[in-house]
Amino acid sequence: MKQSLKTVIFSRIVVILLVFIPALAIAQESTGKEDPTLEFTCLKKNDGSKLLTATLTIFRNRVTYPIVGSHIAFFLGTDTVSAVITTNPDGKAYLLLQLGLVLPLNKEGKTECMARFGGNDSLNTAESSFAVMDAVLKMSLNLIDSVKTVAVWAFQPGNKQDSIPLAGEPVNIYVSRMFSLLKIGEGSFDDQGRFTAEFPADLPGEADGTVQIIARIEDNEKYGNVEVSQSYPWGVPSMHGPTGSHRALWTEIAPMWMVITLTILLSGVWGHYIYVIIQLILIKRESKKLKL
Amino acid sequence: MSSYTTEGLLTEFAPQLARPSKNWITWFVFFLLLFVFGMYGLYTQLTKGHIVTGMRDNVVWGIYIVNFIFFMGVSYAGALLSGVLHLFKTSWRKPIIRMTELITMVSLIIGPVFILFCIGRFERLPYLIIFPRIQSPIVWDVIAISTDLVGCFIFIYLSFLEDMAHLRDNAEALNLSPWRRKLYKYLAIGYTATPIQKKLLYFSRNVMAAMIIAIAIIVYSVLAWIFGVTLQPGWHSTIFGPYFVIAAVYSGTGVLLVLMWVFRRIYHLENYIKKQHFVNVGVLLFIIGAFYGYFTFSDYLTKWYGSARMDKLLIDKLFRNYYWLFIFSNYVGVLLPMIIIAFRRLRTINNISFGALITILALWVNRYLIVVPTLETPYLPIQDTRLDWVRYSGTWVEWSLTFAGIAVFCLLFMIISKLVPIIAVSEMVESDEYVVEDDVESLLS
Repeated sequence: MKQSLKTVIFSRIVVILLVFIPALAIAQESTGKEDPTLEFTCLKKNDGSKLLTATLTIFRNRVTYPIVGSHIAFFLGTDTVSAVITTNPDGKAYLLLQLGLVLPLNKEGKTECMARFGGNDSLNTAESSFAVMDAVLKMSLNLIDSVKTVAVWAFQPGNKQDSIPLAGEPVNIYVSRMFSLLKIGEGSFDDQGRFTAEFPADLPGEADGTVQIIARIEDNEKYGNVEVSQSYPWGVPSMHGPTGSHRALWTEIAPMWMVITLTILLSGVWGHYIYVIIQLILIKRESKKLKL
Repeated sequence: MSSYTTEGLLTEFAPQLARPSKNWITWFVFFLLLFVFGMYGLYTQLTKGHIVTGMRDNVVWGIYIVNFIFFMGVSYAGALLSGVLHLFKTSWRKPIIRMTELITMVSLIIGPVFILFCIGRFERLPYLIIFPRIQSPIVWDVIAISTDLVGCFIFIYLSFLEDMAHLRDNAEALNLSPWRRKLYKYLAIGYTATPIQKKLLYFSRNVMAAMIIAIAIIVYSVLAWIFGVTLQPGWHSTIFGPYFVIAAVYSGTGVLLVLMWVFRRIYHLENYIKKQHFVNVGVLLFIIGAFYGYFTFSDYLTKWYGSARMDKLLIDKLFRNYYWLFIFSNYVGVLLPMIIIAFRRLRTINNISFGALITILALWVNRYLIVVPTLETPYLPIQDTRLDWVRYSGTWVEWSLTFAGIAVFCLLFMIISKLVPIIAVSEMVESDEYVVEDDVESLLS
């Protein structure tokens, strides 16, 4: 009897589950709301300012689409809204925190930031947050034994004696190119919080050789993104004007062979024209002779 | 020695030179109306800009360029044919050589005008001369066409000279109007066929006939190189120079046959332009048509077999969007005239002329298929552009100017046929051989 009762209870539970789970799924579908993705990052820039970027997207049919014109609320260390920014055509909302702005710190000495999308008729709410410590990244460019060397060091700010080197943290060195960044060095800071990379000797720069060198701590759990950059004429000057022969198809003066060929052709043809015109003049002169 | 006499021929052709008939006036008015319609189209284009044409950023060349290539081709064909017929002293050339010369001159006047219709910024036109870059194929073309224009006029003037002198000398008998007498006297520059004058003229004509053949080949090759030296699919081909020359001669021979049919019918020249002339020129058309077919096949075969991405796209487009035009241009336009001429039963004057007409239309379409589909197949993908900007189709303005060009071609032929006999009298009368006489030698020395 006991067994049969267990069987009955089990079978009823199965029936209930079979009935209600699809019903719940249908109910969920019937709301018609999708879950957007909100990415939230912080980049500490060269001038000490911090750029907070919230990116709101939706993933449909294996393609990510930006959500344009949605309001993103920014919370900076408090429960109150610090700013509300509307997403641009790329689905991004930017908030720039100028140098000197003091933000509340938590017990670990980190600044807690949060971005929240409140949702709408078709999208559910989304939020994303991070907590980062402040870090300083500095760069110096030196010629060491005729080798162009990029030196960077990073530390947590404090009093002079209290500054803590970011030992062991990864760092990347880039050079800005036309469409993207070219990585020229990667590694970790040493115990002194220093890292050096050799700058390539043959990297093309602008007309005067200027290149923009960028050092970055990227997607660091503790420090977020920290960047420092400097423009310096270490590149090979690029000559985008005509090179090589000054007599070419693309220069102002035509190639010599072309000038010679054209001259011969035109002289030959026009020479014959002149010859024939002279013959016509002689024909006319002959008629005048006859009249005389 | 010829059985024809100057006086006899001039008397026979006198009605042609006399007052225009009613038929002549009707056709003249018809072509004049077409021309006026074209001028209205031009006025619309000048006042509203190129937006009234089908040309846009992608397809920057359309029917105007097609007409330019077509008329220039006809002109070079006329020059080549008249030069070759003259130099080789082909006996049957005599009744038709003037037509070939006139084809050269009239087409050469009309062709370059179509280039002007393409230009949006007329004020920049003098820059071609002020700041010429001889590396540019466009500058080659300007130099070539102007050189050719001068050469053709000299050549045609030389071939007209003797007839002008005949008309001047027989003005009384032909009862010509005073202004005509003055015109013929002025143009005849005192030519009286003295031994020295004959010799000077004979050598001048030979020199110019040889020159005109070379110039025609070079100039039309230059026109082909405007396309060939670019990297555009369908254009970048080493074969384009000779291909254009052959295509030009093919279309020009077709125009010659049609004109022979027209003038034979209008001026009753059955005694001069006989079936044998049609057959002879028809055989020429057959041979040139075979070459044209061979060149076309060779060009498309190598592109198709190579399957370079853009060439493949272009050929797919030709067989998809332009299927019937392609078939007409490259199959019907080649095979039909050849079949007509190959079979004796089909080889009648009307059939040969019909085949020639098909040739002309096919060659016009051929130029259209060279210009437009290539421009509709650019290397960079066309994005966010309206379909009517990507695909080209001629507007009424372009068609009105096209028909105006054809009308001017007919009008000029009608006018010239009233000024000089459409059959060269001097050619018919003169012997082909020039005999240097001792006294001439002494006179020249």
